[in-house]
Amino acid sequence: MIVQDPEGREIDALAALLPLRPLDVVEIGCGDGRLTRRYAARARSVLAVDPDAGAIAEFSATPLPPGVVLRTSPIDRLDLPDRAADVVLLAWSL
Amino acid sequence: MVDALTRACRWVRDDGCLVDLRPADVVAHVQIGLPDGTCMDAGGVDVEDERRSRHTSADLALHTVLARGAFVVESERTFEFCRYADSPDEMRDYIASKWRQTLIGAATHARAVDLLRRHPHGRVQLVERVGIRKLCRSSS
Repeated sequence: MIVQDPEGREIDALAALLPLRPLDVVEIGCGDGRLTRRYAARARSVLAVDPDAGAIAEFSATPLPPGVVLRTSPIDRLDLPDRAADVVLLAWSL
Repeated sequence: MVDALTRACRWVRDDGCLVDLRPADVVAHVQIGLPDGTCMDAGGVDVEDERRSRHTSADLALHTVLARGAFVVESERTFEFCRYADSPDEMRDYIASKWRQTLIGAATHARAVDLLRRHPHGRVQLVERVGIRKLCRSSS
């Protein structure tokens, strides 16, 4: 079985950058939610977006953390108001 | 890609930030890690030109947006992101099925098999250098 980042270096690096307050996060490229599930507890809300419907289906196959909403969309079709997020996370997606 | 990044920047609140997390190097390396911490390199993955081009385009998009002056890099660093497999075959098949335009080539796979044969307590790992940077709105 493939094990990814058991050392937690990715979430440690992300956590070190995030402001210490409840956050409204927009994550672009959430995939199957591997990273989202690791930081969601620190967020007030997460809009987790991915263009891959299969990945979103995989993400939603297990219960979502509180405050997490999923959307299947490419970034160029994602219609959000300006200044909607405390953090916009481009997760392996740029 | 510049358009996508520009859209993402628009969604950031005045006191918020944009976090750009992605590979810093286009080539990840297959290694055999030993219990004492030693890592032996079997070689890099084979990356198609299109993926290399996309990697370059992402850097250019970032530079373009920063040059406009609305955002500045507040902090950035790199770290090693590691994936572990039970065998070279498993790692090869994982990359083939999950990654786009990237393969573990026959020569790298063969070196990994050979290294693992000589070091049976080793562990197959794919090591990728990842960059993370925090962009904030410029105060000027």
